[in-house]
Amino acid sequence: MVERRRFYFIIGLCLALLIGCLAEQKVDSFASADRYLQDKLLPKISVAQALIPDRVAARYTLDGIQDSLPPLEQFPLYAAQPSSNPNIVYLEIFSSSEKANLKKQNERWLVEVAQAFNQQRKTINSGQVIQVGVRKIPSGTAVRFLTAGKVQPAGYSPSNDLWVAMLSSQGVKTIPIVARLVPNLGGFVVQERVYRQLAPNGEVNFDRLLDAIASGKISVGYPNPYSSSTALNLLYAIFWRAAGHQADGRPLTIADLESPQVKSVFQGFQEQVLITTTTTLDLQEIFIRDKDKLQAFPLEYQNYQQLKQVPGFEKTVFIPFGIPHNNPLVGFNWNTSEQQEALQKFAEFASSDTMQKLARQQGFLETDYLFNPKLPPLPAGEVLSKAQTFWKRQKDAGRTVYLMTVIDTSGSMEGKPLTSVKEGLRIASQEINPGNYLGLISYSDRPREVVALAPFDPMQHKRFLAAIDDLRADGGTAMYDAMMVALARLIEQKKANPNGLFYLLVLTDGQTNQGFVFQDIQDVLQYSEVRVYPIAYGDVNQKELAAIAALRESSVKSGTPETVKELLKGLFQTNL
Amino acid sequence: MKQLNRYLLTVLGLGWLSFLIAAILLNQVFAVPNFVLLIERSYCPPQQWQQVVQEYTKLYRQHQQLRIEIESVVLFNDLGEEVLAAIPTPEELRAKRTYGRASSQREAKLRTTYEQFKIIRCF
Repeated sequence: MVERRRFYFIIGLCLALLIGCLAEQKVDSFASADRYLQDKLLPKISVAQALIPDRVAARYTLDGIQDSLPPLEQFPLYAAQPSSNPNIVYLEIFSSSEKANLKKQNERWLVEVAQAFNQQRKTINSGQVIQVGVRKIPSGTAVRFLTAGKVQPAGYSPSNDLWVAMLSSQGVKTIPIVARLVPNLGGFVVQERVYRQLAPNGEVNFDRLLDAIASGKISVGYPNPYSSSTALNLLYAIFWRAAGHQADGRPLTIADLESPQVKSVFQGFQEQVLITTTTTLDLQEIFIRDKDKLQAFPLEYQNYQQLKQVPGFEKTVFIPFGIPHNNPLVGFNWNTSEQQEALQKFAEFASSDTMQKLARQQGFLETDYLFNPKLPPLPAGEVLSKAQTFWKRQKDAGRTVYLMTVIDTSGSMEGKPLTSVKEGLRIASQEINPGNYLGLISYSDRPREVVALAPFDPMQHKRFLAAIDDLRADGGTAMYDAMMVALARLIEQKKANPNGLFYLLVLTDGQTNQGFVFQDIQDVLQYSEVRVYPIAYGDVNQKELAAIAALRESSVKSGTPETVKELLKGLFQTNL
Repeated sequence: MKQLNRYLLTVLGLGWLSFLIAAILLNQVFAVPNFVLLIERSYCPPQQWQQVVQEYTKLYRQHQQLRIEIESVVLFNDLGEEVLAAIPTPEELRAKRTYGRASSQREAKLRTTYEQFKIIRCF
């Protein structure tokens, strides 16, 4: 009898040990992810504590940071190249991407017009031959170049007139050449299911859609209004409509932006913004992947023509908003009279029936919306600048943003790659709203915590700048270890403020070769309720980064030493 | 026998008829007032929205006690109108966002759409 009891006891003990050893701690909720992180992952990670002391940080000043423009060469120049030949009058036109993208069949209209025009070797009255070059540059970036006084192109053709108004308000005088090179418009791409839900109550126009968004029924995403023409137009359309100017037809004023009614619509709208991206392409990716979460996003109609052919977008509806995207062509007061004459001739050629037919083939169509007599009027440029600032200040609708920056400082980052990242972080740090939280962890063989996650104030800013200066390249790539340490800091804050917005920005230039691997931490990331922005900065495992991004409405950004400054600035501008 | 049956049927028929007439009369005289509740949801500071919710709470309680019948609740402002799928609890109404501007045009349209209505709004 005693022997039998002993036998069962030993069997039971073995079974318990076996189950204990085999059963994994399951991660299927925020709480279990936190537990797993604390119990199983963090104890195995060796973190170097290298927090910047305040006495070191205090030596830094915040005045000396200059927003450097990207090199102009980064934006390709198509058709004719500059010439010193006195028999040639050369025109360089800055053009928005959707009509100057030689890489895409249906987005190169202005380049094709310039090529056809150059071939005809048209002359001005002096006998000089006109040659036109088209530089593909985002409209908002072009405004930055022009207002900085660094460039003097002969012409500028943004997507819409809002940028021209902003230029004028910043002291850059423009000379109208053609009011509309090609027709286009901005609008929301909406899932058919969502459209059908709204349709029974009448025509689904922008008002109805805005109402559905502001009342919390639809989630949307949109790109950065500092750089995207469609996003800037959307912002203007929201403010203009919220101010009730559809009734009196007057343009938006700065005073309107201060009215509680306007603020309430904007805040209601922003609460439904799932994500603000740096580009429209990111939105398209998330729209396809997370249909239930992202139900609408803004796009230009010309792009929408092509998008409808893409699987996943066939059953979408386009709802226009705001001012028309007229693609105006303007000259500048620094042009010579010969350049002005040449620009006029080029505009006449672009407006010819043959070229307009080409435009229609590339999706620049005249829609009924463009003939609507009640479209918003053009506002003053100052109002638009204020609207952008208003967006930056109020975009998080009262919620605090927490961002942990995780930067690769492995040996392969030595030299220009790390210098560019450091410069990019320095510039991007100017885009952080006070009160939001920022922390910094660098990693090589192991994570190194250099700035604790804390509210962004002048002292935290100085700590951040000092830590950036202190980054040195050396060792291996323990990316997931560093991400887990950053995640732990964010989760700690999330427990105190569940309504906050939690982001983890991770920049890597190589494959993870130290510490944890993706499979070890995948579930924790998934249930952490933290959105990860991966930046692929070299020869990385794209598939793994894409899987990380897909866990929570994000996309992988690719950066190079040439582009990383703008990329970081854009990410900080839209998220912090 | 036949006469008796006819007499019985007449008495029964008249009895039921008088019951029916009495029921209709009672229903008319002591009817529970019913209406569509229009709630203006244009921007309202939180404290004032609280007053709107308090006013609604009174109506909601009466509705639950069958002293009134709220047929449906319609929220409206200058951007649009929304007929709620079910009568919301006061907590649900409190959680609704207020945004945008008041619209006398939309209000006038709603007044003509619904014969019996009551409006509550933020002051």
